Amino acid sequence: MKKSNMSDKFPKVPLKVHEAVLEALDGLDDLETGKENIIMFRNRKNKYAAAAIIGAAVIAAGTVTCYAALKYLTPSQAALELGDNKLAKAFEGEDAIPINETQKYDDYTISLLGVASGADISDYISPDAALGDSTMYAVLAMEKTDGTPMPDTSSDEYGGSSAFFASPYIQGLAPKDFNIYTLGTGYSEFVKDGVQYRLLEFDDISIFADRTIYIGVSEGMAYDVSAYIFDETTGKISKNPAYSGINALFTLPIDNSCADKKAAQEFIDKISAEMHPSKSGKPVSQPEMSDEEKELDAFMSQITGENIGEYLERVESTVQILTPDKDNYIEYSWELESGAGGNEKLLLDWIDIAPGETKLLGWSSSGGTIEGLCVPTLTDNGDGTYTFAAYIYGQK
Amino acid sequence: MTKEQFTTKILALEKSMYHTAIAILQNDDDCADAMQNAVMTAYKNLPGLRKPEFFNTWLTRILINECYKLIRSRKNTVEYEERFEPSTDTDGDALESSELFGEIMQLSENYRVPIVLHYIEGYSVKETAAMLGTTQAAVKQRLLRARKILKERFGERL
Repeated sequence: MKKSNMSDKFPKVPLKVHEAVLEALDGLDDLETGKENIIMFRNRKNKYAAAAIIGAAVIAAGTVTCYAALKYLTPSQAALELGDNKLAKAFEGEDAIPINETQKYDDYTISLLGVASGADISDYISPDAALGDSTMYAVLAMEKTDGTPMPDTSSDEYGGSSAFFASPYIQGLAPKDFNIYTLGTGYSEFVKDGVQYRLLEFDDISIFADRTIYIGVSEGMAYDVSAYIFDETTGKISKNPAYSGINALFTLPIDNSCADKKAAQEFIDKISAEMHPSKSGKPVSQPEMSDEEKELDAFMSQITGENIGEYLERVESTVQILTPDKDNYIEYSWELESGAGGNEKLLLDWIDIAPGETKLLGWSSSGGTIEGLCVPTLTDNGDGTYTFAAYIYGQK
Repeated sequence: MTKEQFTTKILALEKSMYHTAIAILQNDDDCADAMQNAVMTAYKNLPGLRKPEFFNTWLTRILINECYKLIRSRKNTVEYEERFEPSTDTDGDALESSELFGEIMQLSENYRVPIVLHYIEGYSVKETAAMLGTTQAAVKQRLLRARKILKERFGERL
């Protein structure tokens, strides 16, 4: 048997399977709408810019830290639920670190159950790691504090209001840049007995063991700068006590002897070069950037809040004059003819905006082209009100 | 990767995805569910894919996960009558391939999944081993045994 071109000779995709795939592809727009912070911002730089500006707005109260109740699955059992026998064994091995720490919030209770790391310890290949590379795995449990079950991963509610952003962080590295998007390769999730379990998979960061290594869980689909405080002097990351939502933060007890300063620096350089190719001075392979995307990046790089009107057209139907509520939040929603749009609640404390100034609230593009651009903006009117407006590419 | 690029890739890989899914699930309805879930899961997790050149392996791994998730979620076993039956509405050369695929589907899962991934979808032994969570030696062994079984059934025609 020869393997070349064999696939073409084997059974065609049955109509009902093809229709199911088309249905999923048709539904991608819904996924975009619900999770635009992740999906709509095509590259890391812009995704972070948006995440840095758009604050979460969930009302919750303080936290209580304690040991996780025995009711949860063990990390090994969680790995087995995901069909990963090899990882289940790794979680029972000597190198695994049981954590079992719980942090409780009004709405949700978050637990970090354990961590394991090593090369080739999973039944599944890391999607973008070379074979033999060491990978770290962490198992988290999320449940509703009032005991109502978390939505099953197959339900429509899954990933909506109960979407969590779980990520490793490293002391000294800005969490808005060094988080699961740059350090991670993905996660798997399931719900059992009303508890949502997440298996996080990321690069083995034990080479940073001479620093504090954290696992954080906040709400939403991107890093929320308002949830944590990054002390640029000490490099320490801590919960923002003024933050009213979920900002769980666990410290990993990793043996200092795992630290490897040289490998750590190489790792930082590599990730930094991927994030900021123009600053690295080195050629960076980013084959995913098409000509259209490069053109779009170049186009957006020249746009500021001051000159946006010269390049893009304001969509008058999206213009809203907003007055902050007593907690300094503004809320706005908009919809374009193309169907793109959103509904955001924004905490003004986290926006560095002066009277008379206009800020871009990130940008997105349908199809990755200039023609598909949508740029939401906010202007401080100087009289206590703010103007929201979305801009699109017009006939400028 | 834009949504359009993602859609193009998925449609290009649809047949390969189906072959992988049917090798595990042996049922078109389940394949439809698993492939639909895999497409949505992949799209949701697209920002986590750092190197686009790994897209095919990454997607296949997600699909395999979805297939096994489906098996776990459905406690009932699939009746033999519902299992894969090769289509006969193909011509000449394809008919023989269809017959061969039907025979592959009769192998145990241990054999049919690596044989589909390696011989039909063209993944290397190393990639197949990684996707299935086993060693390259084990994959080679399974491929050898599977070929032996198929050779006994097809003789020199294989």
